[in-house]
Amino acid sequence: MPLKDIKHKSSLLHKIIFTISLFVILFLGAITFKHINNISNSSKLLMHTYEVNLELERLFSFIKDSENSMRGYLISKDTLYLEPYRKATKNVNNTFLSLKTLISDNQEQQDNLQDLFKIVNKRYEYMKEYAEQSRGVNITNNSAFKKNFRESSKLLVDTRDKLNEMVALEESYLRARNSEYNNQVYFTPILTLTILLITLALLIYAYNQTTRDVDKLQAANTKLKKSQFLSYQGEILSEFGTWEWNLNTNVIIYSDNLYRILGTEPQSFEAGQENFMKFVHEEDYQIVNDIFDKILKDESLPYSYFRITRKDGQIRYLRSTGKLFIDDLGNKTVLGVTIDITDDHIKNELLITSNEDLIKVNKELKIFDESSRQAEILGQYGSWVLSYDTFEFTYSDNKFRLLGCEPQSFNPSIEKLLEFVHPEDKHIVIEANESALNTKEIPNMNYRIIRKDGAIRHFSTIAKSFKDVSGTESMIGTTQDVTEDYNKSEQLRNRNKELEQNIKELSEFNHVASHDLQEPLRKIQTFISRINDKEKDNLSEFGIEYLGRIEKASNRMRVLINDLLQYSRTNRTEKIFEKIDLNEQLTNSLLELSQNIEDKKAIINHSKLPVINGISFQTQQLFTNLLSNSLKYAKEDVAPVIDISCTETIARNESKLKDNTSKKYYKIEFTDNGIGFDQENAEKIFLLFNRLHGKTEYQGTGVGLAICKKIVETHDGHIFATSKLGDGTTFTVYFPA
Amino acid sequence: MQEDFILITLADDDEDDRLFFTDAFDELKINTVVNTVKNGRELINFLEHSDTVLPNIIFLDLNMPILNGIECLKEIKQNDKFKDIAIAIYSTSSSEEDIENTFVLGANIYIKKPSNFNDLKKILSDVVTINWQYHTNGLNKENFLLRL
Repeated sequence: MPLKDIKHKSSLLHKIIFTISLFVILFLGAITFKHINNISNSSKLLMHTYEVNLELERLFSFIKDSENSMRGYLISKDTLYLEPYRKATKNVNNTFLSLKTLISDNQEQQDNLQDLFKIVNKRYEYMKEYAEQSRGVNITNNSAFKKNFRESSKLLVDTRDKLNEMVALEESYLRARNSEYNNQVYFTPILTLTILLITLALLIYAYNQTTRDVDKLQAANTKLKKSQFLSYQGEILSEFGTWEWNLNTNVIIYSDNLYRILGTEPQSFEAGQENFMKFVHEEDYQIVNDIFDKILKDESLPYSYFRITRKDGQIRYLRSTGKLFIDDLGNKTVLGVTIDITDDHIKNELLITSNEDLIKVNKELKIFDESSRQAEILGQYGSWVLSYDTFEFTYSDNKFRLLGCEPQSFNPSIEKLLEFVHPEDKHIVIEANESALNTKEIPNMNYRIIRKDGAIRHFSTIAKSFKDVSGTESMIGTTQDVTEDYNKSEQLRNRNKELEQNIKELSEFNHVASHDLQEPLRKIQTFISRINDKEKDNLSEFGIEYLGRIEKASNRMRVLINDLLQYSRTNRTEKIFEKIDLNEQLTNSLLELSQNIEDKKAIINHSKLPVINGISFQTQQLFTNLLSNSLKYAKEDVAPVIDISCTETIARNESKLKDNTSKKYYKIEFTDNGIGFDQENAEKIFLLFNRLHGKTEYQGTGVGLAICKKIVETHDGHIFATSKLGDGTTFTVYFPA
Repeated sequence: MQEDFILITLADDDEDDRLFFTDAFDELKINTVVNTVKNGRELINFLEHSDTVLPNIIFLDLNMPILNGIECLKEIKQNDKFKDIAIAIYSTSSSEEDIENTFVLGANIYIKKPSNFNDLKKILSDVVTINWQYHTNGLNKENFLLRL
């Protein structure tokens, strides 16, 4: 504000001073011009006076010459003298003429000249008479002549007087003019000098003032530059830009940083509504158009918010405001500021969401706190905190209850805890405490305590160091009463022992089955063969028939025992998985069954089988059992045809697997054209000793397919049978790929 | 005398099996002298007896009381005096485990007791008439188990 005042005042003063100076100079110029004009007039008049005088003198001299010549003539009567007389007379006339023109502007002198002319003329009339008379007569004797002569002399004197009078008049003019001139010459310089001095003083004052103003202006200018620089920096730092809209000229100017806010190079396009709209976010077109209208209408802009989209696609949030500024010249300019508030906007949104989150978290924490309180009671655990700063413990309520005490009934400390710890386990707790203080870590530990009521309980503790937001580090631990678990695991251990015992007994039973049961059977069979060989002839037909039935029964028992052994061996054998080529296993099976296949004239087709991770002899057994099953249950009058195919598939595509994952499987299908069975028995056939047919119709113990199922399951696979009575059977085996 | 007779000793605790064994050799027209012992201990005692003429072939049951077949086999093979006697394992079991173990311990042949007398005769005859020199030279697991 002071800047503006100074400028205003001084410029007015300067204007006054310079106007005065201008007038002074003009005035001086006028005076000087008039003065010089006067001087030139005066000298002209002087010259004029001199000329008039000169002409008068000449006139008189010519008159004198003519007088002289006349006189000479008169005296000598020599006509020779008449010649100069005539010449002088001519000259007198000439002089009169020039005098007449010289004094044409002066009436008084003209009158004088008129008088003079009359006198001179009168004189010449006399003279003329002389010249004519003298030729014939002696004029000297003539009285008329004498009288005339006197008269003429008198006229000459008159002429002289008249001339003198004229000269005197002329001189009086000269004197008057001269004094006037002198007056002027004296007065003008004084006036001029005075005015000049005043002007000089004014100019000096103005110069001083100007110098001072210039200094002030320079200081102000520096200040302005600084503040401009600051605002320039400020614009960049605070991400705002300024704009000016001159309402008179309708010119809009943007600051460099406003361009930067728009994501363009400074001054890279012409500021204006049309160009600006290119940056505006399409959803905010209306808002910004309104802003432009508002500026024109209200000549100001309240806080307005809108979005822009930069060239690189970034969306920024802007806030604009503007106020009318009228300068001294009356120009109306709306000055505005546009701020990029994207970061604030984001922060704000974050703040709002984080605040909401906090409320939510707080709510959840309260719920969690309550639920953990309940969980502690239900789960029989307590939590505790060890502060590294104060080495003080804090126990949760339930931790007290675990020790058989009322919640918060004593101040927890390591010493107090040790009072409860079982004497044999005290060292565990002491070591853990030292470890906690030294390394801020403790191992998971199990120890016993003796509760207040004397009961021995098993405790398990885990703990971890934790640094909270404020940087305070403490150890947070959970101690659980694991007595029940401990007892349970004790029971489990006992159970395990029993189970191991059972397994041992089972394997002993296996041994009995394989050796001790087989031995008597073998002996029975051997004895039967002995009787058949040696005593057949001594037996009655009845005896022979019964012996035959004994033989059959014992044979069947052998098959049963063998199959049972095989089945149990499937379980018992060590499961060594290796990469096996199923094509090889199939070939082995076909070789094993070659006699059977040949006998039944069976046709077996198979596609290429994969390599799987499995147990070699088991997969071969699987193939053998499935194939022999198909061969066994072939239609009597039709040659068996078995097709073996393999595809790769995933679990969710196979409805039978009831598995929605994308686990990969090899699907191997064995399709025969045998007698088939009712689909409702499809699961039964895999059960041990389960048979769909009478013993006499088809040989078998009902173990073969049970073994197949066992083998497939050992390989983490699945087996299914699909069949229709009289229409063949398909066995589908899935092996994990 | 040894050239004329093949000396055979059977160690088996089962009376019936001993009976079948001797009956079978009785019916076979081979010059054999068969004697039997009831368990491994008796076999070792018999072999170590100063009067005993060492047999050509020992048939050894695995499942015996006091000293079973496996232990007996170990003792025989560790003894320099007996280790060259041909050993035929003669067992009801044909479990892979037993076959593997006895093979490793140095038995020469493995016989599964058949459940038919004629089969028994056939297999015993085969064992006795094997060219033992040849069999032991080409000893391998494939022909260790004697199949009918």
